[in-house]
Amino acid sequence: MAKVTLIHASWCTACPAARRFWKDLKSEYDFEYEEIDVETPEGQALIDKYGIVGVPTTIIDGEVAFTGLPKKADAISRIS
Amino acid sequence: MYDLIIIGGGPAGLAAGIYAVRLGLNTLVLERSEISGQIALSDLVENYPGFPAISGLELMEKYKAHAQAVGVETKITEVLSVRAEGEKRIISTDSGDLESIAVIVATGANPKRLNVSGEKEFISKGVSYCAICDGPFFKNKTVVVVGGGNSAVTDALLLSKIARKVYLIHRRDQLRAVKVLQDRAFATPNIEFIFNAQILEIMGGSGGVRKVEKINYKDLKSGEQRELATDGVFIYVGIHPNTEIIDVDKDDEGFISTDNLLETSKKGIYAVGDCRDTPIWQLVAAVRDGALAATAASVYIENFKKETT
Repeated sequence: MAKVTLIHASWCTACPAARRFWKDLKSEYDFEYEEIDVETPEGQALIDKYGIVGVPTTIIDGEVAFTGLPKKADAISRIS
Repeated sequence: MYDLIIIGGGPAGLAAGIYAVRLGLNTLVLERSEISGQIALSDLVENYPGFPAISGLELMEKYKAHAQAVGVETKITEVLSVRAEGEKRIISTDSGDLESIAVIVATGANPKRLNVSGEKEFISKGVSYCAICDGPFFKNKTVVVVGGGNSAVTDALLLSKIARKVYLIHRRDQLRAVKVLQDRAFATPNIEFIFNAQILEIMGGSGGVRKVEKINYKDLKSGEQRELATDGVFIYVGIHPNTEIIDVDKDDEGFISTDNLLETSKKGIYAVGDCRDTPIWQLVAAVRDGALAATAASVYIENFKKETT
């Protein structure tokens, strides 16, 4: 099962939509899902690990998959 | 079958929707993303009459609230193509086909790429097209802003409040931005201007996690190449229209050609806002387009119904 991690931030105008997007997709498809705020220690660790300087960023199975809001078809393709 | 389907829920699309509903048309607005409209990513809008200063997101929320209040039906879906089949207009989406008598294409545009080495590799690792989205990552750091128009200067000003240093690099010898923005930028101590310069490459460090570390640019007057250390590169070099979904006459850059009533080369299909060839790509122009196209479409629809009954 794919593991999806959405990295978001409080200042990020696109992030609420990204959170809704992945939550809606979770209701249709089976995958693990978590949200991590960049301003938490866990978020900072991920930022450092992947060299991320943009949100929202989605990590799928240990790889940076998307920056911004993905197209639904692309997201489905990555989690399937 | 709908009277009118509008593709795109940004300012042009929603203005069209509001006018269409008030004209009594059975209307549907299709939008692929909850973040509709480029304007939603603009930190500050100061040239929209009635609003001396408002965030782009707040303005977009007002558009949406108004559209909802008058009863504009909207649906989140990705439009794959638009075509004419006889008198019907068929809109293929990722959730099935829809039919209408007329269509308004309000698909807007996306930031253009610089198309230099390293740009794609470092997206979200120092390369960005949106200061309001990614600016906070560059607190007390150095950033480069590429471009000379309103968007470049506006976001350079935004970044100057966050970053320690902002270099604004432009290939011409003067900015294209409006005077008021230029004056503000020139008066900002931590913005440095590099004119007559063309970015050749965006480069990062070696090793495991690569992020932007510097750029290589060419001085267009002397021909000399120089390197500049930077943590981020924000690119504002124009827009690319989202018009791949429809086959109508377009200019060389893909902007849809329209007549004075915003009809495209196909009857009953209109184009509005940033996706069309227009003298100015501005919010007020987009809203005006939406209103005009909805009005023109309503006449087309009325005539269609008379002829077919």
